[in-house]
Amino acid sequence: MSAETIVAAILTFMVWSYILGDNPAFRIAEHLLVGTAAGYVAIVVWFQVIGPALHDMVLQPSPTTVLPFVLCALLAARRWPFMRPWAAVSLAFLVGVGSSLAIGGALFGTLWSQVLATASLSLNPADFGESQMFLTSNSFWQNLAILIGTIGTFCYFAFRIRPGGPLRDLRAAFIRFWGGVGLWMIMMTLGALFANAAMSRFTLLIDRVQWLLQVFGLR
Amino acid sequence: MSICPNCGASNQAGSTTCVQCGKLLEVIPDWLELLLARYGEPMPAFEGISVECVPSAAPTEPLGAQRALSDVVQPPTDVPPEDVELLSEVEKLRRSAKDQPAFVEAQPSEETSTSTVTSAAHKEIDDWLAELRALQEKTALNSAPTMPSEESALEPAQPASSESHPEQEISPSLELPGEPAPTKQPDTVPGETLAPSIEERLGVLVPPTDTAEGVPEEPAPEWLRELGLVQPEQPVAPSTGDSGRLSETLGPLPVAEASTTGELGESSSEEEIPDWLKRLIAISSQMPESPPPGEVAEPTQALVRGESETPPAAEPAPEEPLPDWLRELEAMQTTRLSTATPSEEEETIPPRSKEEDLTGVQEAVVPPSPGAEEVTTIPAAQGEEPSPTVGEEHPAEWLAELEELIERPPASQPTPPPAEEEVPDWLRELAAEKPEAMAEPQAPAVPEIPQPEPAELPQWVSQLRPTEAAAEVPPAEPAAAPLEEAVPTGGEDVIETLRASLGIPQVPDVEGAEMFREIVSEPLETALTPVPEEVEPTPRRNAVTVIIWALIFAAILLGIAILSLALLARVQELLGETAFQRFLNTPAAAGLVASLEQFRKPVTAIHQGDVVLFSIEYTPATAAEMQPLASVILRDLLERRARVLTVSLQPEGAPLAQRLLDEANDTYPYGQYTLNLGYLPGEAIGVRSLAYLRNRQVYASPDGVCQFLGECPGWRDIRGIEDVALFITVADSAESTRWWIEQLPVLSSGEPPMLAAVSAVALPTVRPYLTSAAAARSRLTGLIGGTIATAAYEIYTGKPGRALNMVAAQSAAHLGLVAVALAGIFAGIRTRTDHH
Repeated sequence: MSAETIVAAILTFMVWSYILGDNPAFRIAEHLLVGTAAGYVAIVVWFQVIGPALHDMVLQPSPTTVLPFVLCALLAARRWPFMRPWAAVSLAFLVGVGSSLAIGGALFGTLWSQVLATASLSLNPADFGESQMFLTSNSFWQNLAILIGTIGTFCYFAFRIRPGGPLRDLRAAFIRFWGGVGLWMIMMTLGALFANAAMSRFTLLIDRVQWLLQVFGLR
Repeated sequence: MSICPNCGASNQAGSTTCVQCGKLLEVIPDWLELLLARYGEPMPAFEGISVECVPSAAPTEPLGAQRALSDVVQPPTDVPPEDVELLSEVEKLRRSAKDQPAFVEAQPSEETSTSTVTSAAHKEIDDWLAELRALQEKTALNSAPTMPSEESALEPAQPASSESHPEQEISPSLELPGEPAPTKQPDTVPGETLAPSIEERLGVLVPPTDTAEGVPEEPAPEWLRELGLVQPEQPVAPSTGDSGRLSETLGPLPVAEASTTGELGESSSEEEIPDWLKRLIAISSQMPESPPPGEVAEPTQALVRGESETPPAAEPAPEEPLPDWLRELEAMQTTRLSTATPSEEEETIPPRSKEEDLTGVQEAVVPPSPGAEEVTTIPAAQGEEPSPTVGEEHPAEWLAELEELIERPPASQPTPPPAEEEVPDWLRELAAEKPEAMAEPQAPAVPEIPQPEPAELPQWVSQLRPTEAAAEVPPAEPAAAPLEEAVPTGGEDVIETLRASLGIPQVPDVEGAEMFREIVSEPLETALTPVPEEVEPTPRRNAVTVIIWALIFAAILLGIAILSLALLARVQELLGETAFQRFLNTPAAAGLVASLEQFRKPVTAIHQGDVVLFSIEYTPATAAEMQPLASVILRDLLERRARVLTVSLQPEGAPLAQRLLDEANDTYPYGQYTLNLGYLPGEAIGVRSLAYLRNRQVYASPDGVCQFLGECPGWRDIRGIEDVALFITVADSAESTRWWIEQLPVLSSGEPPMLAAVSAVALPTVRPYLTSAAAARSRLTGLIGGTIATAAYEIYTGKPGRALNMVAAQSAAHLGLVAVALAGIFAGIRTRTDHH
């Protein structure tokens, strides 16, 4: 049993002591985790990002190697008020690039693909083979569930304003019905998410317990 | 506030007619009222006030010169001595008035009797004030038609004393040693009360000799002697001889000289100034050089300050030979004599209440109304420095204080009300009288007097100018509290004046200050009583307790572990690998199997030497779940002789990937089949940086020589992302998976298929990307997640690993979770049923 193992076991018990309430042992373990992670990230960033970039700038000075450091220096100079206009250049670059990628990816990678996929769902029994085969087709019921859930979820988040006009009562009833369906869909989704999260955490706990048992020779 | 002489109703200050009976209200100067009230009585025993009875001799110095001005102007510490003195004065006056209750009620003019001051001054103030009011009413009844008769009545009362003793100082009833206490005037017909009242008031200005119980005879104040209203050495004449004494007291007033008597007034109603006022003017003109005029003028000017309407003019002139008010008197006298306007006696002696009489008594010390108003304006504006202590300090102190209190600020400057218990009633009356007097431009009691120029006011008068803020007033006796409630707010001006002169900071809200004082003075226990709060239970800080609880917890865990070990074999048999393998063969596992097969399809399609981009997107916190999944996938790829390039969008992913590659290093050497490209900063931007895949720096050089992917042997054929045959991401969150799904297809033009192996938490969130792959180019062609999927993968690859070992425990945990959930549901239903 190495020292690393012993320290790991002690830290494990210190973290588990939170079940008794907040205590110094848990705080120590928590602070160690946060500090170690932060320090490790700093080391990795230096050796993986900043160090090589500096090396390239020094050995192969070029606009592509110098410009990142210029922007970094301008961003760091934001501390002084007279340099803030120049620091805005770096911020603009960061925000612009990040926003463009994020928005573009969200639009075309997520939203548009989901809309197309939902719109292309078929409930035509003929698309599922022979007659009445759709009843046993998982795809059919899956498509139906997707459509019902999507419509119901949209109606649930609709603005709750009292519709006007001649068919206001019908529209209100429609929204109210589908809003209830959407509410049930949301609840089931949240329940599934919670169940999966519980499974994941159970896995972590089981692994740690097995490790401890192995450390103590019980397994 | 003025009292109607006819019906006795209280009228607002400044009103000319009674609101009830409509009778014309007669107003006499407040200072005269007060003065008459004061000197008509023995010195009241005010607390803290040492007032001496000035001998009835002609004052040789300007009024107030001998007064202890330092006492007057000293800012009070806790209880201003001036206020205390003034209060004692009031009490004395009250006692004196109380000795003559019948007389005072019937004849307001009798309030200036020199009754003895009792020790219970504070509680006698009601009677004193009642007497003043009665006196005022009486004078009001006898105002117009009786003014000449009053003067004539006064004349015989003091036939010779006025001229023979022009310098006789009108000493107040307070501590006039050697001076006879002013006796109260005999009862007279209401119509005749006006004249006798003034005479008596002025007559009692002579220091009383027969003081009542316990009040020693005190010499007349210096200011009175200065005015020539009192003969310092002359014995105090009895009250019956007030009229004669009055003439002696007032001295050779200018008008009196003209009328050969210097008495209070000619009988002719056409006179513009009462005789007593003329006498005062004459005295002022005859007064010798005096100490600093500002100091001298302070008490006298304060007395007449109440009638001032004009704003006070700051005129610091402490070094002038004559006080400003004297100069004013002279000027007024000159003007009056030149104009020869008719004087109206009723203006000078209106019906008043007790308080008004008191003010009139005080104001009688200065020249009469025509000049008095002008004089009052001057002193009201200037708050001159107190004169040095010259001569008698005790009478000067109280007089100066009284003058300051009497001083009324201009009506345009409202003052906040002081504490009720701190303001004597007579002061309130004075203040009430001031607006009333100023609001009566046609007041008959005030003859035409040219208004003095504000700029000529002495400095001490301007300093007494009240400010807008309220000043703190020391708490007065509680006995005065009930009476003060009915006191009009006019007395507030006097208080403010006093506060301004003393430099006391004004409190905007006296009541609020009192309340604050009460709150602050609360006991510390009550003040520090903590508000009960819902405080979270503090953690056990006791080391022994912590150790005990830790031992208990360890014992519980040990028991569970032992029990689990005992049942482990049975549980393993029931829920272990074997059972799981049987489970995979059941229809219930069809979906799991299908997803797994869909995931493994691209993997099985890999050829030898194909480059697979393997993304490690989990942290050490979730390594227990993701490491087995990543390991089984990596082994599956390496078994197909693919070249695996590991990257990570998280800093912790690079070392985890390296560990993963090191585990397979024995079989698949690092650098030949595997290569770690390390951390890609920028999250979604990091994905785009793979466009320069060839120039990516390796996390760990396989031979210690190559630093970039293009330099490493066996990897130089890779030009870019287009050379990647398969992309697999192992992520513990949906976010990092989304980054790859959104950015990589654009980078790689959608060529390489994408596979995602996520944790159970991210599985439901990533699944829509899989289902939409058929319709859209989401590029996600395979998705698995969770320990169960990992175990199934391990079974499919034929290499059991950690996931398969956790299946039994995982299944048992799931069963327990289901049981607890069911129990909770039933408990909830039962609870709702019980509520219903």
